Formats: sequence, structure tokens, C-alpha cells
Amino acid sequence: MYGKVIKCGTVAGYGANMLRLSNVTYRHRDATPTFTNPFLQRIGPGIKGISIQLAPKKILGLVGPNGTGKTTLLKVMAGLLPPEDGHLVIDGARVVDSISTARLRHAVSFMPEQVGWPGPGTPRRVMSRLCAMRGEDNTNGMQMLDLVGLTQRVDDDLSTLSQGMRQRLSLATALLGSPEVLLLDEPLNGLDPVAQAAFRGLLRQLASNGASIVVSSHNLNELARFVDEVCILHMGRIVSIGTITEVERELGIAARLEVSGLGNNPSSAISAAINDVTISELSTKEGEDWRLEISLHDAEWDSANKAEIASAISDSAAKISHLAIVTSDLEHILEAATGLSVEEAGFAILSSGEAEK
Amino acid sequence: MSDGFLTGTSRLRAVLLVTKHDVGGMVRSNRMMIMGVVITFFILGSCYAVTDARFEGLGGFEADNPITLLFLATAFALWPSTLGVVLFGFDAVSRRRLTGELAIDLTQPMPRTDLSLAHLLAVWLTSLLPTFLSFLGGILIIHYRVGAYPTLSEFVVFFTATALLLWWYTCLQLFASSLARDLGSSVTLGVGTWLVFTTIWLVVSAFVASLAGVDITDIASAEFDTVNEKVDLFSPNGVYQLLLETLLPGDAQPRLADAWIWLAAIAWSVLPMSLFVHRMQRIKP
Repeated sequence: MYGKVIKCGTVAGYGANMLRLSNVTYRHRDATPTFTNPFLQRIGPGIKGISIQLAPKKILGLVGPNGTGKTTLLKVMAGLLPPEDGHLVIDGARVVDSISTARLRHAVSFMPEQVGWPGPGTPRRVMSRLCAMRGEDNTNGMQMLDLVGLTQRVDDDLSTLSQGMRQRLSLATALLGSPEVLLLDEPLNGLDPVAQAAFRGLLRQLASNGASIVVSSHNLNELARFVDEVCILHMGRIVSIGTITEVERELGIAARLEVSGLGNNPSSAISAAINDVTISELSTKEGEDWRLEISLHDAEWDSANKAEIASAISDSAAKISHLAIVTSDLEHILEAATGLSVEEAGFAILSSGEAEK
Repeated sequence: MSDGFLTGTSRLRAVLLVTKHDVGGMVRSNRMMIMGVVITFFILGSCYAVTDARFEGLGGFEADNPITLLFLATAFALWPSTLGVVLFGFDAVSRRRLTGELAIDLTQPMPRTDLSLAHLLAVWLTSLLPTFLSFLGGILIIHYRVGAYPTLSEFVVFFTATALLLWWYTCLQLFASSLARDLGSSVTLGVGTWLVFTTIWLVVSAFVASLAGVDITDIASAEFDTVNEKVDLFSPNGVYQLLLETLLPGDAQPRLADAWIWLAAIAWSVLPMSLFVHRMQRIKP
């Protein structure tokens, strides 16, 4: 599966400003007609004041809880939703006319979340139709199906495809035309672990060929395995953007060392041995006498400082049974970014709409 | 191609290829299996019935030539054909929108106008196919029963009018489908519109006539007929009937000038299509 590598964009073709959003705002409008005002609309959640510039050869992960604006941001990037405020720029030109729109359509590809593919039809017919829309040869469509491992199913009815197969078909449609920017909305949903690994490998290959890739997910740990940078969204705004380490440092939630063991609690010994650490006691698990979470103030974890910790614990006559670096999950990051608990942050999203005539 | 959308013949070719794909999908669908049979039986059955010696005609028409018989047959036969448009088209946009396929379509380098045109042509051709084939069969039945064919000009006007009627319903239905955010609303809008024009329109005519001071207890009167024809210009079925009546002999001809009828036909061909294309330019998947 995913045996071949296609060229996705050319590095030489990228400008410094390939795709850029400048202070873009878009808010959904839901029709809420009443007897006295059948045209009443309610402004729903969306994105606000987003400025972002995609870089070639990079995979950017969009992270945030449900309803925070990830899909909306991707659709604005794809040109499917027109910005209310701000503008979309491709190759230095605002997307305002048919020429810049056509450029956007050729350069940017979008894979929606969980496309139904209800049929009737077959993967071959789906790709053939899209090739017709793009004025491309059908063989390109078949190559994409081959690339995502659907060669054996090209003539099967769409209704017989599993969710994972449908995801692969969606990915094949997004890869058509060798886009320079690939926007993927929750692409790993429905894929089995083997397919996920292959998918991650494929994305890395596409990025190394010059493509700029944006992947949305609510699962930071999943994204952390293959993205170069993450963009944390909360209530339609970018809370933080950068590598995961940069984001954690910016939010003051750098990686922590979790250590547990038997014997006396070694907290005081660790504090005495190493400066600038914060030690929190965690609830113990079965067979443990103590469990600690240790954070460094102005440094990153490496072999040397981990060895120092281990040595301090040994000197205090305690025994280590478990020692591991713990990265922040989305809950930690959101709590740090918003100052709210996860529950509060989630409910705040739901109440972010306001009525408008 | 890389600097813009497709142009000229390539653009037309893309529209026709997408149309071909969509027609292929709809022709093979289960609903075609059902509607194809219903349309065929209705049209062939109507043509057979109106040529029966015991048939007394409708509205005082003398059923004595092929085009009059075809005209009478349309009174029954167009119900399933126009309903077929509604059933083929109600989910042409709304379902693709729900499943995410529309988002994929709209990110392709094909102008939205062209995509809209491909949608229209696909639904129109799908409903036209069984209707035309069945009417050709109906003409053979009429020839078998009364021994005559319509003239070439009658044949052309009849099929043009029928094709236009299906086009009007296609535009209306796809507009409804693009407005609706779910399949239920889409089919409700489509069937509701179809019901208004096929069954309730006489009530509208009677209401307008009564406002104009015409006696509506005698719908065969010349005064009511005049008002009715004017009101019919605002209904696709009405314009279709008026177009066919221009083929009929003598006093069965419409009182309105042909120019008004053809003007209405042009307006019905352009305005709903413009609404749909305009809607598709702004649709948010």
C-alpha cells in the first residue's frame, strides 16, 4: 500500500508567500426564521482575525476541540468560504478575481472530513469525473487510486467500501493534480493503525517533495507523530503556533518527567540536587510508594538532567520503578492557553454565537 | 491551463463529460428503474387510451388528428415526467452537500457556472430520455390506431415544448435542492412546487378570475379562458399547454398572441436557470 511516490508540487515553484491568510474573519450564519422576521440569522462560531502563512515542505497540524473553527479555517484556506474580513493571498496576489481563484483551485486541494461516497458509482468513476472537471487524463486518477492502495477496489460499488477505504478515496481525490497545498480535515479518522502509519509516511514524502500540508485533528498526540508545527485554535482564534516544544514553552507547560518508585519519597533530595525544578506529587498506583511529576523551569529534558534526577533518587535510598517524559495533551495546552478548565472551555465554545438581524 | 480555468472547447468538453458521468449514474439508479417504468406506462397508456373509439375527449376537443391526440395524452402523461424531474433532481445538490462531495467538486478548477450547467444538463437529460422514448412509442401507437403521423413541424414543436417543460422543472428543482440544507426540505420544496403547478394552479386561476370580476362557475366561458391563459403564463405547465395549443386547429388555438407565449417560454427557460447558477456561485458547502 502507498507503494509509489508522486511529485506533489515543485519546490522551485513556491513563492515565499504561497498561501497566506491575513487577518481573516469568517463567522457562520444560521437561519433562525421567526414569524415576524423570516430572514433572521444568528451568527454562529467561526474564525476571527486569523493570520497564517503556510511554508513549503512543512506539515502544519491544526489542533483544537470540536467546534473551535478548524474545518472553517481549512475551508477558508481552500476558498470555499469567503472571508468577511481580511483576505486570502496566493503567490502574493489577493484571491479576488477569476484568475487568482483559478490559481487557488489548481494549487490548493481540500479533503473534507468523512466524505460519505454514497454512490451509485465506483472509485474509478469518481476519479474519472474529477479528471473531467480538471481537464486531466483518466490515468492520473488511476495513479492516485494506486497510490492510496485502492487498485483492487477500483470497480467495486462505493457502498461496499469500508470507512477506511472511503477515507483513502477522499485522499486520492485531494492528491489529484499534484497540489502544492494539501488541506486535510481529520484525515486519520476511520483508518486502521497500519493505514495510519502508511498515511503518515505518505504525507512526509509529499512534504519532502515540496508540498505544504495542513492537517486538522482534535488529537494532539496523534498529530505530534508527524507534523512539523502545530497551530492551537480556541474559539476561532489562534492561541499558539510553532513546534510542539515552542508551543509548550510559550504556554509554560514544557514536557514533564514522571517518575515513581518504592521507598522514601525523594522530593527533597531532588530539590536539593537540582535547581529550578517544580515537583508535584501525583496519586500512586498499585505497588508504588510515591509518584512525582517534575518540571524544569528554563531547560529541556535531556539524558544528562534525567541521569541527575535518577542519581538523586538513588542517593536518597529510594528505588525507581518507572521514569518517562510526559508531553502535554490538548487538555493541558487548552487549560494553559485559555486559563479555563477543559469543561469551561468546551461550554464557552457552545455559547459563542450571538443573534443578529 | 495552469494559469486559469479551462477555456473554450476544453471548458465545454469538461461540462459534457461531467454531464455524461452524472447521467450515467442516474440512469443506473434504482429510481430510474421505477420512474422509467412509470413514465413509459403512463405515456404509452395515455396514447392508447386517447385513440380508443370510446374516448370522448377533454375540454370539447375533437380527437381527430395525431397532434390533437398527443396533446390530449399530455394531460395525463406529463404528471410522471415532471414528477420524475423532481425525484431525479431533489438530491442532485443537497445530497452532495451533505456527504461532502460538493466541497470536493467546488475545489476543482472548474468554474461554478460550468458545474451548475453540468448539474442541470444531467438531471434534464435523465428525465428527457424515458419521456422522449415513450412519446416516440406513443406516436407509433397513434399511427397504429388512427393511421397517421404528426407533421414534421408538429413533431418538432411538440418535442421542443416537452423538452422545455422538463428544463423548467429541472431548473426549479435544482434551485430548491441548492437552497435546502437537508434532503427532506429539498424534496418538500420540489414536490410542493410540482403540486402547485400541476394540481393547484386552477385554483389560482379561479382566484385571479374572481378578483377580475369573472364568473368562475362557468370555466368554459371565453372570459374565464382569457384570464386563465394569462395566469397560465406564470406556470410552466400552463405555458407548455399554451405552446401545444398553438398546434391545434381552429377555435382550440389560444386567445393570447404566440409572441406572449414564446416570450413566457424564454423567461421560464432563463430566469430559474439564472437563479440556480447565481445560487451555486454563492453556495457554501
